[in-house]
Amino acid sequence: MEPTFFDPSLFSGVLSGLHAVLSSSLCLLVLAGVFLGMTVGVLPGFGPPAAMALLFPLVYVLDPLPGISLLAGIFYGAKYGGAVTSILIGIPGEADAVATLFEGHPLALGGKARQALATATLASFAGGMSASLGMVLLAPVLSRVALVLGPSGRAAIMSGALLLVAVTSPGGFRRNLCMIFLGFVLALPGMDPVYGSARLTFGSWQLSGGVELTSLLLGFFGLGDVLDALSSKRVLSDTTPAAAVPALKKRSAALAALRGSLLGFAAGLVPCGAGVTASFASHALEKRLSRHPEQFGRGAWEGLAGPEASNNAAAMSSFAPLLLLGLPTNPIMAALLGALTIVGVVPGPMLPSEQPAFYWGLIFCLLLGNILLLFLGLGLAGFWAKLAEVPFRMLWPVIVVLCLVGSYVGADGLHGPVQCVFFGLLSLFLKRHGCSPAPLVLAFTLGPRLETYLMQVLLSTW
Amino acid sequence: MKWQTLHIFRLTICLCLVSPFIVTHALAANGTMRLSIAFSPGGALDGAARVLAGEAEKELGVSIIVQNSPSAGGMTAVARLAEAKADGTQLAACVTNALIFIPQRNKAPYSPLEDVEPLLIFGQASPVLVTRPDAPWKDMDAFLDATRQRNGEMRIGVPGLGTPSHIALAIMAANDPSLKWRFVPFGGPGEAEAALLGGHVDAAASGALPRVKKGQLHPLMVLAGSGIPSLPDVPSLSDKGFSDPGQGDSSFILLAPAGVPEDIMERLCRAFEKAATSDTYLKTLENYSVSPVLMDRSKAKSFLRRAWEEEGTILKTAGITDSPAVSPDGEKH
Repeated sequence: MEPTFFDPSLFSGVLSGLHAVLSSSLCLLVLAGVFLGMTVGVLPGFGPPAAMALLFPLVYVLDPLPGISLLAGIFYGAKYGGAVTSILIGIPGEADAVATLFEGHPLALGGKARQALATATLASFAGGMSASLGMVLLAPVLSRVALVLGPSGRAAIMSGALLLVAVTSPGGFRRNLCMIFLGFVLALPGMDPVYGSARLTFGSWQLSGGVELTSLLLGFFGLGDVLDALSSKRVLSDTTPAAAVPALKKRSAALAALRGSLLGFAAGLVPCGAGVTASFASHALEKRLSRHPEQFGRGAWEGLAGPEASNNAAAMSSFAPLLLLGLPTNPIMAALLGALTIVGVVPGPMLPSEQPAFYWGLIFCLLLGNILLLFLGLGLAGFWAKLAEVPFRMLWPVIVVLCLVGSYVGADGLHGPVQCVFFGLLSLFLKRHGCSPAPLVLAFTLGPRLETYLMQVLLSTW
Repeated sequence: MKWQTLHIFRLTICLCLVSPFIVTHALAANGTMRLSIAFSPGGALDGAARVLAGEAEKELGVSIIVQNSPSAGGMTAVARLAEAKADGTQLAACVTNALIFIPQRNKAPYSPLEDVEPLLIFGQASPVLVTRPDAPWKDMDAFLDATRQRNGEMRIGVPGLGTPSHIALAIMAANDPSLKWRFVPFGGPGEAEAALLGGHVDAAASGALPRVKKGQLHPLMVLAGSGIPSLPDVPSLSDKGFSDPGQGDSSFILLAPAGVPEDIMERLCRAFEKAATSDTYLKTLENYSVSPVLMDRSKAKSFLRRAWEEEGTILKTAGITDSPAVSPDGEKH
């Protein structure tokens, strides 16, 4: 592959991205996104997907770059929020904060909550920063690799990614395959992406645009979570204070964070539940390397810093397959892929050269989000700790209202809330039967793209 | 906690969380417009429409958000527009094939002459068939020979089924049974070019000239009735004795939903007409194989009506009456 598409002028886009970030009110928007994300992420019972879903409709009323940056900020903030709840009350927002919980919660119980939060914040910051710098440097290489992949390669990678998700998601392989199938079925109604004919709309104009992504997200992650939480008893985690926790060794924690960042960056590029794999791998690595493996599970600082850095680095680098291949690696990235379609940005290897202001602007927004996260996390630690203790009974009415309003905004009609309620009930039903919604949402957003690539392959070989 | 306090607390959270929706809604209502482009970035339509929007922004004094909604040969953008609110804030730029050719042959979810209203025709595309510089065929004759030899295994990347380049090639194939191609639909010419450079198709149709000028892509033929001035050595369809698919399907058109108030339509038309005659816009067109054809609203309307009626005869004389040559699977049977 000769360097036809990527000349050195690629980096000239960096300046226009910087310009886009500095010349508008983007900084404020990212700040708002991080703050909102942290708030929703810290509130009990809501992980990053819920935070993302609740604030997703905002993308309909914003420009492409601000809209996506806001969502990215929300994602970041919510991830951090998940770490806070893991450490303070022992409830992880999402699977990739579980490794944080192993060490962070004992530390909090042992009276080192403040220090543990600070360590987690700094480790996240280090992970996010190093991964975003890696993105800047690797972007040309990555997009060259993406270019070599044709329709067949992409179809293969997407199918492979879905299979990996089916293997790695909780619920078991067979259930996950069913979920993927269901996701494809839900993606079918609407316009055929190649021929443009209407299919499975049953003559109703509400379905002519397909199933509404906003309603699906809000139904599964907003309403579904509320219904699930309301109809089941909450399991309180162990609150007996630990006997003694080891003292913080700054240098070894910093080294652990560094190792975690590298591990996370690599894991984020691979399409399989990036953050989860990365954080558990980092935790295992630190345990292997440590001179005191017996401390792990009782509050080892390395075991807190490593996974936190790595899941944040993975979160960051998973933007690369999303933007350059259109391949989401987890449900949140799937939501972002949907958002890209809504704001009318086409992900692909050409993105950095065709829309440098958007591509680099987004990367700078991610960097900015990281910095803001550091300040908000360290500066308002007490506030987040208080917020994490808000009782659930005060929250759920608000969440339900937000879901209904959000799905109305997204669909621009009453069929939005109707679909949202339907998906909420469906989600509850599926959860009761041990199915996880992540493969379904991934398959739903990947469906049309996979179908297009598959048609391209079939048309070029048949 | 007493029930009053609880209620007040709930209300506060609700307001705090809902307020961003309201604020951004208010900001959006305060005058941004959205222009969706029917193909993905990197092609002539995208390039021309983006600059046109930039110029019209200056005239109108509101910002125009440009978005791409590719897929289905341009129908997606039109279908979404047909459903949009007719308040003049939603526009779409597409090629007229999405209004003439595709709806005449496929079932479209919109009525092309009634659900959408033309504002302006701002260019006439003459897509160029390009190939890799290292490909064994250096001109069209060699390419046609190779096509015959490989007996239908040659793959051509087109920016969607039923787009001007696909129609032109399908008419060629319909008239000469020895020509068979596999048409691979992409979301836009840029994607087709990328697939060509990655070696996934043997040739691609594109209207963007920079890569041709830099020598990264090699032009074979202009897929239109007449050649283009910036590529004087490249033959056109008529030069090679193939039938001209006409102009009805290859014009760039700016659309609004039907039913936009007349005063708003007038204002938009004036602004976009001025933008389409600006120096910046005309200079941009030099980078694409697009001739600066300009038609105002009434002309565009009658052009569309005429093209709709003529489409059948053009295809009939070209030899594809109800022919499967451009049937949905894009292949000759």
